[in-house]
Amino acid sequence: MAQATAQPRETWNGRAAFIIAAISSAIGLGNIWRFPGVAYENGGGAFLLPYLIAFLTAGLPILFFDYAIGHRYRASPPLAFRRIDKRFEPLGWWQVGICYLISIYYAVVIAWALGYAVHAVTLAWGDDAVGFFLTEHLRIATDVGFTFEFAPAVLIPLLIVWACVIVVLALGIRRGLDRANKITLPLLVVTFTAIVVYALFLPGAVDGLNEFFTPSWAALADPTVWIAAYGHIFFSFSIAFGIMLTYSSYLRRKSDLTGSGLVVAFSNTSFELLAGIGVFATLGFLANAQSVAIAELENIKGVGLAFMTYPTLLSEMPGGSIVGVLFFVCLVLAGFTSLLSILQVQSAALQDKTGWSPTRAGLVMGFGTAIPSVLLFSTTNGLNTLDVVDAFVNNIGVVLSAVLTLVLVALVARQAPTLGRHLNAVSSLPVGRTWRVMVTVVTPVILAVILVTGAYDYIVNGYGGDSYPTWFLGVAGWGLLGLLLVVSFAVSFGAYRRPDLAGGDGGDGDGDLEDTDTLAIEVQRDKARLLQERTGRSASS
Amino acid sequence: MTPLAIVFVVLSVGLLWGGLAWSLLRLRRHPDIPDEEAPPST
Repeated sequence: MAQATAQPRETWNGRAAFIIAAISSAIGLGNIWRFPGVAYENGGGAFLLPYLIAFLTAGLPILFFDYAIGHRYRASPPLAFRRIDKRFEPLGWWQVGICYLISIYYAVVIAWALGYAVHAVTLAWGDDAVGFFLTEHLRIATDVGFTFEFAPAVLIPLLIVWACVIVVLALGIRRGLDRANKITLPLLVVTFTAIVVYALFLPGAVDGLNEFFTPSWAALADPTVWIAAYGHIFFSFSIAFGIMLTYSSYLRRKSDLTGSGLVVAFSNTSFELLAGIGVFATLGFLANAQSVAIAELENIKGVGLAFMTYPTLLSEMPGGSIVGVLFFVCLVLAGFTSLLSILQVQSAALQDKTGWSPTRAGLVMGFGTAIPSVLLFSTTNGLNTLDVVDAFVNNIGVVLSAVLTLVLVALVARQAPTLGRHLNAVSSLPVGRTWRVMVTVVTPVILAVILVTGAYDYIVNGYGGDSYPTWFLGVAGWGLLGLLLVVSFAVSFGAYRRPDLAGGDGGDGDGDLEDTDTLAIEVQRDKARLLQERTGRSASS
Repeated sequence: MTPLAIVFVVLSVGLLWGGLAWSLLRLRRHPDIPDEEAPPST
């Protein structure tokens, strides 16, 4: 009787909608401001080799792994992991919590970019971009701590960003997310390509490209370069912290998982390469204009690149205000769709746990994230808090999530063969023993090394040199992760209220899982029929 | 540009953008299979 009142799960409006959504999620701020700097610092052209190997051995296998879990268990991370093993539900809530923390500060960076898209019209930073960003825009406090003194230039755009996000979330998958992605992704690609083409014709652009692409072979012998490559691929693909798992859970039963995954993965890396070319061409121009070597330039990645170095070069560039507006609009577009995907993880988990409609869950989650985001990060201490939370969430929280996912699902629950069979039942590119070795041995080991070295460094050396007091790192870093751990276990004890799950086995749903052999036969039969229809149509025409 | 940098531009573009073109062509050869059940309208 309870099942009769259950709402059917939303689905994407076709394969193209899913691919566009997944690409929009993967292409975020990191592609534009992280990849070029990481590549440059780790051997330039030579970085391509570890990058490609990491892409093939970690990026693609974990992406397929995420897709397989979401598609087979048809649920948000907590329920999907619970369906694998009841004891794994806290891992799902840990991923939801990580997404929650990221969305709180990610929105602020989009708000900065929105504000800068306006500032760029008049090149408001003048000849002191660094001073303008810190003192005029952020009104950064001299003492590190927490405050309720707001910076209006951050607060107003942040409220606009959250209003847009909440509207899209409340509209659900098809009317909200799907439409937003179909507008923003093409706009982003066209605008960013135009900027890159323009940058290539600037004086000094060739020097920038030489610097970016010339390989430093010695770097290949350095293990930290390989760790950087694996770390970057892993962050860049939005894998192993719930996003791709949630997105694939909305796919139709017979969707080609690996075929779609290849397009998503290559689109992401292709955009990164485009960003690398564009950013280094402009850095070459800046170095040329200031008569310094590119190696002497500071702030070539992250917040520093976007809000300090880039404005500096816009002031010296012909047509700088137009390029500036377009560049910051690109940041807004790339960030906005990635933020939506992060929030969808939380909304989906809330829908599964409470049985709420997508609209209700979207509104609750949207406001529940927007309020702390505004209170914590639009203040004069927002940058400090953001820096510490971002470092701990990404370098500890996300990596721990990936290691635990692979260890628990692939090794403890021994799900790799099952998930491999599921992928092969519906996909055009089969996975085999190599894929299983990657997800059970190679990637967990590499990620564990990244996690241990990162955590050890933070424990021994702290973070940010002398910039932050120990108590601040304890609260905004370790304390926040500790709180997340407690909450993950606490929420797992709560009962599922979704009508089709409440009162029964709490959502194990083992009996509902599809037989992969039957699914594979159905897919083969339908594929043959579709191809026959296609051949018939082309013959008759 | 230096010859070595040009080689790496060609390699990068060929592998990544070529990979994207290959994966798109591959996907076209495998049509999307519609489900029998009506999709939810939410």
